[in-house]
Amino acid sequence: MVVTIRIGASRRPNGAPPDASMGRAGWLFAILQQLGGMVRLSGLTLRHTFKRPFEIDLWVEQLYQLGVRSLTITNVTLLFTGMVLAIQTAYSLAAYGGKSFVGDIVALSVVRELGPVLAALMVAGRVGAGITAELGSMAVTEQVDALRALAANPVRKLVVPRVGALVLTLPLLTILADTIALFGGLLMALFEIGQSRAYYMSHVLGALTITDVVSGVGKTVFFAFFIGVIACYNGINTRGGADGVGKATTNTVVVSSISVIISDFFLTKMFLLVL
Amino acid sequence: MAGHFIRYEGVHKSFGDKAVLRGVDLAIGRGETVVVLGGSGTGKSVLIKHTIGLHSPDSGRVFVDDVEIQEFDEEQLIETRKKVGMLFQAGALFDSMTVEDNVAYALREHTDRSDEEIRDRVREVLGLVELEDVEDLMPASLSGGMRKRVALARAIALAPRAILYDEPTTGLDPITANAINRLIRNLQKRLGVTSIVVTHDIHSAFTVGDRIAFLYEGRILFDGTVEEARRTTEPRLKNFLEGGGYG
Ligand SMILES: Nc1ncnc2c1ncn2[C@@H]1O[C@H](COP(=O)(O)OP(=O)(O)OP(=O)(O)O)[C@@H](O)[C@H]1O
Ligand SMILES: [Mg+2]
Repeated sequence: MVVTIRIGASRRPNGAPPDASMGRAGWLFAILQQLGGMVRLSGLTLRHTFKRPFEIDLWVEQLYQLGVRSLTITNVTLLFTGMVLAIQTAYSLAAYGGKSFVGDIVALSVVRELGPVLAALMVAGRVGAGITAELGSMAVTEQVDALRALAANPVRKLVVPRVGALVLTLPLLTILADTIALFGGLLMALFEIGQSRAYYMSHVLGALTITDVVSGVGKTVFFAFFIGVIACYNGINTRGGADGVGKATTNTVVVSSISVIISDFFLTKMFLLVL
Repeated sequence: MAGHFIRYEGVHKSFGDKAVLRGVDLAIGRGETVVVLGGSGTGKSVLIKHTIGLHSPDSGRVFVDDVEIQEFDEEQLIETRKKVGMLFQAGALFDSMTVEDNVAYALREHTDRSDEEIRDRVREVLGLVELEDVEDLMPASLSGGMRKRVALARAIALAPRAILYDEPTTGLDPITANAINRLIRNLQKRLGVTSIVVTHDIHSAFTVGDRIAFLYEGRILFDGTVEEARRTTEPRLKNFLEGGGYG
């Protein structure tokens, strides 16, 4: 099989990019083509991830860029989410004795759902956009072609370290952000709701099972892969100068955010079935 | 046809409904330097990128060192790309890397030379393009002409058997441009390198070329020796040469 790269993009017989003149069909064609390209790039990425030699330096660089530098945004987001969730629960469920369940509700909704999804959305915005902008400006200045001309493989050099770093770091970012959210809930339990630390913690730990943690964190492995592939695909296939880079970056944020939300539904069902 | 190092046969390439190449036939002998002339946007860059699989033709065939490459995937193209260096029109330096890392890229990737040997080779090829003490600079801090020369150094670092030059002298002052012309000549004479030179600079074309090929409306309209080109009666080429190109 011929796997030519227009990185990941399918081999178009006449090289025809879709354009406005194709009307509605062109729009559909463009989406299918993007989807096909992303699937193909996913395959190439998986294949090259486990092939020697491993590009340790590139991985370390990306782990830092994508992981360490996302800590602030995911942690702040989840800290406030935990806090708001605690007070919302306490007040809105007060009539049903909801106050006593604050720990349970914060724990379950954060660990199963909000932690993974919000961390992924923040990372899609920050990291996804960053990857597309970086690779996009490389593509439009022919640096991606230069890499190929030097007989290096852009999938190995550019895509694998980024997708790999995302897949390694998003679960860890999520675990940390979950913990911070539970801490935010604790702050509210102590200072707004008037519970003791021991009471809140016993409800948190009593509600959570290992299954909740596994399904919550497990989803983020998939989210990270989707975000990484979408961002890299859009970056490497960027055309048309600075304007093209802007459009590609926007597309990455939109498409990867939607992918997170939609795949969350299916992944949740899947984990409910298998766990 | 064993005498040819690079050969295009009936190469067609379109982007959307824009037909750029419409049946290009051109062969470059081993050790020969062919200059490709043509107006802006006629597809000169697109054509030479076919040589290393950066574009693949919609139809037609591309041979490099007697290997037919147009159906190759990225893995299969590695050998061809090691044999053929390319200078990109705008340099295409990796702007996240120093000059040294740029020039050393292929050496680190494809040879097992020591750091010291690589450093020496980098200094050597930078010397060939008349640059020194620039190893630690970032591309953003170089002038346009310097970037072009660093890019050329990067293209020749692996001592390729063929080099594709996309406008090697554009944007250079006349003295440096002459140095680059001499370098192209020397690589050919001393190392037998096969070259394709895309240029708008007619003076450069006549200085470095053994043969001139004129790309017009997607085909090679004229293909002959430099002497034949000078005496050509083909009106469109004549017009182009007398217009002095755009160089
Ligand atoms: N990747 C691409 N996608 C779509 N169109 C392209 C692509 N690359 C080149 N083209 C189009 O092909 C035509 C030929 O481009 P090319 O860069 O080869 O011209 P050129 O002869 O090198 O011109 P110049 O002398 O200005 O460098 C142009 O119209 C250009 O817009
Ligand atoms: Mg060009």
